[in-house]
Amino acid sequence: MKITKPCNPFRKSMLTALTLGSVLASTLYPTLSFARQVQTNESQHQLTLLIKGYEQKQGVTYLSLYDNAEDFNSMNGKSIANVQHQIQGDTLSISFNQLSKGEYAISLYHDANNNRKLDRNLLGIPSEQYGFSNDVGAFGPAKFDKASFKLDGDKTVVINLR
Amino acid sequence: MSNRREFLQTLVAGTACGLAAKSGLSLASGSAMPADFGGAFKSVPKSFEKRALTLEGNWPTDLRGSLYRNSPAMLERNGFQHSHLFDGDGMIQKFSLGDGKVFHQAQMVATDKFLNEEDADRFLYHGLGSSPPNARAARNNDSANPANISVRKMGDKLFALWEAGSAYEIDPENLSTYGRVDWGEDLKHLPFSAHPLRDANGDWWNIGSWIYSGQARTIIYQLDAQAKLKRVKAIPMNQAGYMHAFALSQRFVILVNTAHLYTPGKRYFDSFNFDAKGKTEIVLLDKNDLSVFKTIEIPANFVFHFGNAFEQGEELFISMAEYRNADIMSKGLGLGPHSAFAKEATQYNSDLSVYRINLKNGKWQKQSSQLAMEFPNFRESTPFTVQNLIGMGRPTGTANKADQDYLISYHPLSGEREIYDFGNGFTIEEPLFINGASGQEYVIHSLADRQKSRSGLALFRSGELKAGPIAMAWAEEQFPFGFHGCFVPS
Repeated sequence: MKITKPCNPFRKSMLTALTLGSVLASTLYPTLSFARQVQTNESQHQLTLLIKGYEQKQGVTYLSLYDNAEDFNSMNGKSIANVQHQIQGDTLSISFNQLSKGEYAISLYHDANNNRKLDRNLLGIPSEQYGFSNDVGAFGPAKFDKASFKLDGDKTVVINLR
Repeated sequence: MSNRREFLQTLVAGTACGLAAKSGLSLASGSAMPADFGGAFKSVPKSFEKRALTLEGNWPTDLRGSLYRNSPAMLERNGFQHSHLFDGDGMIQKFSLGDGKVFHQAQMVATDKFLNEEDADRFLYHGLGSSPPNARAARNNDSANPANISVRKMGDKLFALWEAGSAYEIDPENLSTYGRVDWGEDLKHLPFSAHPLRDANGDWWNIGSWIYSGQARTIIYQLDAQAKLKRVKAIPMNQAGYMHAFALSQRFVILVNTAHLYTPGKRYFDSFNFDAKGKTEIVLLDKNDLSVFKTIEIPANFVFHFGNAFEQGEELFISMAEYRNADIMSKGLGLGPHSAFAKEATQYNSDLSVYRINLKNGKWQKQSSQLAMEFPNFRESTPFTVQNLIGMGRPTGTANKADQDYLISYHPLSGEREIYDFGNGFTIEEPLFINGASGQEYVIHSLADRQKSRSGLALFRSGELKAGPIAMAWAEEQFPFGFHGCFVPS
């Protein structure tokens, strides 16, 4: 797993830089922590993402974590974490540690052919799989108010790829 | 892809040996369909082995080839019955003609949907008009693609066609499924209608109507004679109207953007509302650059099918089986008590209408045939000529019983018509013009004799429909009701 550029599949521009505190990664359950989230010990929570429904067991998943509507809804918004992970099965699990209590939203896509972009069809609609938290986004880019969820304890979020 | 092809061929080998338990459906016997509609459909196998039909009359020796037809056959799985005819999985039927014999065989189209549902032993997705329990969200337009509307030969390839997703390529000999067809990398899973049209130069044209995700665009495909993509373009539409087919003239691709408008809903058909006070738009696209030449507003209507279109001087003639609303789709082709298969179904009558459009000023006139004619067909070898159309249906007079189908020929300019009445209890399916090796033209169609619970073929000499069929061929059983197909001479 690598920390990389943001990947909101519907956002054209990539984030320029991320300020990451520490990065802990494991093959099965990659774990991330970020300086800006590390405030007090009692407010630290773990977020586990289960991403399901891979139609192809190859390529890379690009995932971004957001903590506010302005950035999530913007084409050029800054994510607080970005993950890229090679796909080997039909489910992927990613965990973030030491997240503060708050509202978060996820966007991701599966670059099945490793061309480092979300392929789109003639109409501009993604032809590779993508997903948002709360499984929204059936009719275009999801907004933060639809995709966001509260984190006030350890939590597992399932995202079914579209 | 090769693995998948091998797998599918293995599947076909299995089905040819009688793999399937009965679980498809077909129109059942008995003319009193409304009274016992719950039992009006009976199970049929997932495949029909090749069998000779019993012949009547004289089958011409110069007539050789295969009539392919597509039927929405599988309407029930594991206790759940679809509530709309459009939701049955496609079955390709093949009638082989030659040497004075007629054979029939049939095979389900092995779509991704069909294979996944075979594995799961249940329907997994919402249909166009049906909602099986615990349905999965469709990931793309092919997730629930049953490839069940038509089967067409383009070039040397045979395609099973739906309208909201991809074509599937079929083996013309044994009817096995090769797989989904992608016309291009950026065209995967996009709509490709069941009604491609052949141009006079041998090219093929087709449309794909995209009315989802807040967009209304029609994809125009131009393929060469060997079904290789030459050109594709997405044309913005003024409204998200339902379009099942289109028409083609010498200069134009003709879209009829109906007043049956889409906004997202739970089921596909729930997402449409007919705007009776709205408009239908006839959009003329210049074949040269696919620009909009002219958009003509006509009163709100609903259309599935078109006859041919042709230009004479500054006038364009388009024939269409026109409905005053979209009840035929939302109710008439449902499998409930409001079905058009019921006796009192005249409310769903279409009217074969001819629109005559002045290409200079866009003014138009409409000529009504007073014929509730559907599945209009014309001679594809001469698409832009004035010619009589053939179809099935009934005159719109009140004396005619609604459950009685007629074979109809209609001339769009003179209004001349010829009608053959099979009598009560017959369901007539799409008729086609075909030619024997000697050049003799015939009209052929499949039909069901509901009283005897059997399906078959009827063959007429073209221009002599009133004389009745010159030959018929009957099976011992009834095949699934079907929509569209093609004849491939050998």
